[in-house]
Amino acid sequence: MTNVLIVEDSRISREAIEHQLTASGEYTIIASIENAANAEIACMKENIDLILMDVCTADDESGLDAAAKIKKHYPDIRIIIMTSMPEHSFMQKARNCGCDGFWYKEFGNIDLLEICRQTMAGKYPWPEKSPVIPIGCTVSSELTDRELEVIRALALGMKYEEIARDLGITANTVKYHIKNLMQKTGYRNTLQLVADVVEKRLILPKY
Amino acid sequence: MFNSIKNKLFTVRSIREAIDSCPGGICFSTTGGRPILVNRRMNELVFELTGHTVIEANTTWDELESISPVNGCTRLRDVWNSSDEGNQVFRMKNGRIWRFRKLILKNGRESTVQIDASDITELYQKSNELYQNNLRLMGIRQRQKDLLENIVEINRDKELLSTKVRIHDELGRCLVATKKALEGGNLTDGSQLLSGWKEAIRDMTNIPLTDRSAGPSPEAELLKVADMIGCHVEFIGRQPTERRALLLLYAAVREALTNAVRHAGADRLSVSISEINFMYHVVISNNGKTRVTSIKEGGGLSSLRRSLEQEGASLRIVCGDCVSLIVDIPA
Repeated sequence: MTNVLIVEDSRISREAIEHQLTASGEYTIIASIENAANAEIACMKENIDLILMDVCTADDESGLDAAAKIKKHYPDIRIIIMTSMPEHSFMQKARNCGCDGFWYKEFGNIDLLEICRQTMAGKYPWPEKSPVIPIGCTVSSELTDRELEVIRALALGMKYEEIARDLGITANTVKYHIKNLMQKTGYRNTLQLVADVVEKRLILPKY
Repeated sequence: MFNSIKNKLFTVRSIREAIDSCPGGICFSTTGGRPILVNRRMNELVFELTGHTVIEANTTWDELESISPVNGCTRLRDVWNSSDEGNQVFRMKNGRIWRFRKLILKNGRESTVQIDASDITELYQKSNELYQNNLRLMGIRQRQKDLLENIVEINRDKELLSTKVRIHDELGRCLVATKKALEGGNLTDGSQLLSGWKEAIRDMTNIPLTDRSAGPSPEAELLKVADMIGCHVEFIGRQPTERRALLLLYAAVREALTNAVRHAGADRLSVSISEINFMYHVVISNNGKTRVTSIKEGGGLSSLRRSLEQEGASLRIVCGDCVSLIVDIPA
């Protein structure tokens, strides 16, 4: 039996996951919590083998931050990051934290039990790419990493000069990226662009 | 002699004519205020505003700075142009907007005062429009930031609502089918009805119709995980009611709990809270067995210190029979 800790703030999802794992007969739920910041404490004495970690958890605590801390102290615990947000940077951040698997709750074509089995078998189940979301006249996969960084900064309410300083580029380069974004998406101004990107959860700067 | 005087007069008249034909107002004077040259437009404008022409330049400027204009003219605030403080802007009776500036011109050791007036009606209107647009943009930017702050919450609520709608539809469909079957006295297709109900009930089992507010409180969950690792956490005093202060308190308790159990083998953590002068004074201590004379702040403690200081709170670490954290959080 595999001992599992579930970190998920949506009660609906949490109980659905508990039900699915318990029904399989392969897993024992040690605890289900909704705040990722408490996960490290839960790992201190309990014999936990696997953590299913949501990214956006209660009180705005990041599951990715919690996963990084847990991996530092307990590298043998396997962690699957799960999210319903198509945020483009989550997969890379999860890799950087040393997580073992990644599951898109809504966008994946593989079910949770299969992800858990693969992870416990020592594999690293990982989606090939983040979900492709339509943004104006284009799709998210057509936007470059730099363009997404610029949108992220715009979403934070930064001015062009501040974005340039933050990204280490000139204000003219920022304008160039924005011009390209407008051409690609067909939006008339940055507000429309940011509103769409935020609405579709392609960018969540808090996490 | 006659010709020389004639030429001089001719030159003065030319200058006067030239300066009078200037569309703006202009006045040159000594630093003491004696007018050297004032054109017709300047006199007209000053007359309209003050009721007299330029007699003494410094007095005229003082009047422009302080008077309440007469003859239906109004003073305007140059709100959009913060770099030009000291300029005087007026809307004249005919609706045109004029800006008055005072400059000191230096020519070697001599200084001359120049007061000029320019018609900035179009510039003022456009700049005002730009200023208003910028204000609007700042508002939009703020709203955008707020939206971003709450986007996760909003989306979660949307997902919850869509689940409720789905279950409602499913139940509604079963009810309508059942009612129809009962009313028609036709229950021969009972197996189909039964499978519909089973499906709806299975959804209900997996997806409880409760929202997040029914979930554990921050305290309940922290106590739960503390129990899991065999440490009892005791709160003494009233906890903050403000969410922000409460979250900072729990961040500190979490860090103290982790360190106390990991490094000192503690099984009891005491959190004492008192409110003094709009500050929550929190002392977190444990019953760990390790005596410590000094500690080096690792990633956890320094990260906690950073989060606390960002919110105006402070952290002190006291070493002794156990390591205590003393946290002051603004109420």
